[in-house]
Amino acid sequence: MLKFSKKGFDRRNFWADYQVWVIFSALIICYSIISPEFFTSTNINNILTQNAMLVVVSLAQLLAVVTGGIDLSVAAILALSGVMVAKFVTAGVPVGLATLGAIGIGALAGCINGFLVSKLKFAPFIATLATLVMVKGMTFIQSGGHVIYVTNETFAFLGRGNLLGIPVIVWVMILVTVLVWFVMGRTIVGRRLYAVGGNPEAARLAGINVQRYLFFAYVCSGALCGLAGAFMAFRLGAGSPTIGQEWELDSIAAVVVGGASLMGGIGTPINAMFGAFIIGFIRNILNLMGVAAYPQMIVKGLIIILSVVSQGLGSGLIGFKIKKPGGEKEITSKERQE
Amino acid sequence: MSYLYMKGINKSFPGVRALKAVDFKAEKGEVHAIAGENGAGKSTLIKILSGAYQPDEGQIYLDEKEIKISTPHSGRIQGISVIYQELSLVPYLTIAENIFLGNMPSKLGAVRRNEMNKRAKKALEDIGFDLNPSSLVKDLSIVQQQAVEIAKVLVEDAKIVVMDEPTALLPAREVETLFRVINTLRDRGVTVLYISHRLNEIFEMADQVTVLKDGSKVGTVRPADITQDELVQMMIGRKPADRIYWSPERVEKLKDAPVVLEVEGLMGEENLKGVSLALRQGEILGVAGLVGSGKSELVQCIFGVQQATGGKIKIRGEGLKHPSPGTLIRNKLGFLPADRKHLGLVLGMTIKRNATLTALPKLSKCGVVNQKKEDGVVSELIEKLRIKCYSLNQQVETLSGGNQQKVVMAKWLLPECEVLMFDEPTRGIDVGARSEIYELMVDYVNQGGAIINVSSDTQELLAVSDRIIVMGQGKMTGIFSRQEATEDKIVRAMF
Ligand SMILES: Nc1ncnc2c1ncn2[C@@H]1O[C@H](COP(=O)(O)OP(=O)(O)OP(=O)(O)O)[C@@H](O)[C@H]1O
Ligand SMILES: [Mg+2]
Repeated sequence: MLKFSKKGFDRRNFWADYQVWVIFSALIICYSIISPEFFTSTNINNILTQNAMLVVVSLAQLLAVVTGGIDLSVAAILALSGVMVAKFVTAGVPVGLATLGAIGIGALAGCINGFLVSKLKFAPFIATLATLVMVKGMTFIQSGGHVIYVTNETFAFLGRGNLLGIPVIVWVMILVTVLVWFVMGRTIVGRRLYAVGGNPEAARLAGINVQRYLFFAYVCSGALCGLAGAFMAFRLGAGSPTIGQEWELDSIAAVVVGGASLMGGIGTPINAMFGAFIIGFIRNILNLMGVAAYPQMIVKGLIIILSVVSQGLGSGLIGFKIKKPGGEKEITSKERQE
Repeated sequence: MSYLYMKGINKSFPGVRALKAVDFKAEKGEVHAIAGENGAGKSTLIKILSGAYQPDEGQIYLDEKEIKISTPHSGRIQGISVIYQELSLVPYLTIAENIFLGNMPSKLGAVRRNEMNKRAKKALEDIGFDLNPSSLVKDLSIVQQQAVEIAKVLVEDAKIVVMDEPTALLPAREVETLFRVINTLRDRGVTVLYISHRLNEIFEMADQVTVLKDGSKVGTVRPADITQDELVQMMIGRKPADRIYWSPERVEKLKDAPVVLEVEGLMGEENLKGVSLALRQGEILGVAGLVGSGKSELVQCIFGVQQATGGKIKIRGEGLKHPSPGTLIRNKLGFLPADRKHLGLVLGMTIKRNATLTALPKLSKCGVVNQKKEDGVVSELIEKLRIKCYSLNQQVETLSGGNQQKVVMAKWLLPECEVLMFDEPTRGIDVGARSEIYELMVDYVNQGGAIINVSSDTQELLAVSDRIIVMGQGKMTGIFSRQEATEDKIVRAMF
């Protein structure tokens, strides 16, 4: 009488979970039609290196989004830590230590976010906006508004070198993705983060210290951005105060395209990674086609809208109705009542 | 043709056929109950009738005419109103404003308040309630709020009123009031569709009962023609386990069992004015009371859901400084809340993840969850509690009400608490599964646990409790050992 499977997935969310792969494959096909050199190893390496740090920043964004928040300060933190890593190295600090410093600075900025959100109960949007502005100010103070060039061998190797035929920066992306995937998917901490985002009150009654997990999410988000900032500086060979412009928006777009819900509780790291590549691909394809920067923004916006709409259609999460073949309407969750 | 005729209704959800060619007929002016196990398709059927879902196949005829119901709003216009279990009134509007919300009598755009109040008062009087139409809805009791909902339905001239488990949280005396109202509706020629898991209510109220099982209709019968056992047989296909869960020997043994939880003079913000109790290991302590008597607040304050404003809580003799859910769970105390949607479940998460949320440390090593072990324990519980689902990884949001409740239950059976506090544990759970839950409770205390069971179902309290306390207006108004407790005594102590 009772039949259920252990392995089964939730069929209701099938499209929301897998649309990102569909879009991803579609884009690869587009890409390879437009540019016949797509499948050359140089090109693939290029694409990976170009988007590696966007992936890391998107994972940072995901941490905030899963808890039901948002982190607008990701790009600002990225720029500050890039500038700081360049300054440290110029001042003679070993590169490894400078990188740790950058991560620490990111984590510190994340602490501000976490404190405002978890202790002072700020709306994440406001809290991270405030941090964004402060961090930006700090970046310009520290850099004087100039790009800080660095000539250092380790620096150059980490930014442009290869390890076992794969760029170091891509290794970093892979490691971070695996780490976040592991933490979110396999550990107690991950389980609890999803619960906190999905229903904070139920999480609290399950004995979870909601504040602590919110704080943790923002600190980790900041630390990942710090790491990404350092590697962006390695890649450029310089710390630039204006690096990563619009990445706060790109990273939000990436997690949304990757099926995360801005209401919290839903979204996986692997899908966020694909989401980041989709955003990166679109930029690359449009560049190849000679589309200028501003029309590109419009296209990006449309992709976000489309992906949210199609997820909504798949799972009934937004106020759209599907016309069924018979001309009858499907119901939306708003009208669905118990 | 019958007054209401739903013909050949089919409805599938991903992974399950919720309704299979169901023919449903109801006559004008009858109370028609719909019964069946959890997940049988009752709510789905009435959601189709009310326009909240669209059927995959089938037609609906009302008064000989085929009707199309595309949204709940269009359903209301065509005379089909639903009274949801979670009441949908606006707390900071007056009774009259709520009743006329959406179509206030007005003149040149100005609301005609006097007329509105007069008509609201009349509608309430018609169903036997004497309420001031200009008082705020937030100050009303649950039954009074239900009355306002019903008055609203009357004003809208509903032909069919649907109630999905309206009594799940109501104690006996308040159920009677609701029944009086339903009788008035019937006398006015309104057809009332009524879902309930309480069989005695069906036998008391219903003219007809339709039984669903696994999405198919088993049949429609007159309750007068069959016995309760026969009805249960129709619902679950077997005879219910008729067991007494309570035994005098157990009560005897309790006398020298250690006290595990002690509460002294506990006070709460809303309606809890100094309650003391002691719970012994191996004991099931039942708590009865009307809605608003403080019985829910009592357990909520113990667990720190709401902040207690005074009093002491001791666990195994040791005082607790800052009771919060976290500290209590660490002290091996668990709490199953009545409000499963907002407090009990993360609706967007899977069955598995909800069930193990409280037991993760036990299922992991160095913070990493052992998924095999997790799948194992959850599968076991799904079978034990008969949760109807197609996968462990199904979102709880897509389960039927009773099955969601079983997931909340599973969540608290896993972490091996020493004391469990239940607030309406069998809310919305069908007769068959109910007895299994009682058995689980008894097993649990026999293995050294202790339970506080807050319930509006007196039968349930009498079936499993070793001792019953009754709450009234924030105080304890009665305490009975199981030997002396009777339904009558309990109900009398409530008032
Ligand atoms: N939105 C949905 N998505 C997927 N499946 C659903 C959805 N709503 C209901 N179901 C499934 O349809 C079946 C019937 O559910 P329904 O809510 O009608 O049961 P019910 O008879 O009201 O049970 P209960 O007594 O527990 O309330 C169940 O198996 C349930 O899991
Ligand atoms: Mg139901």
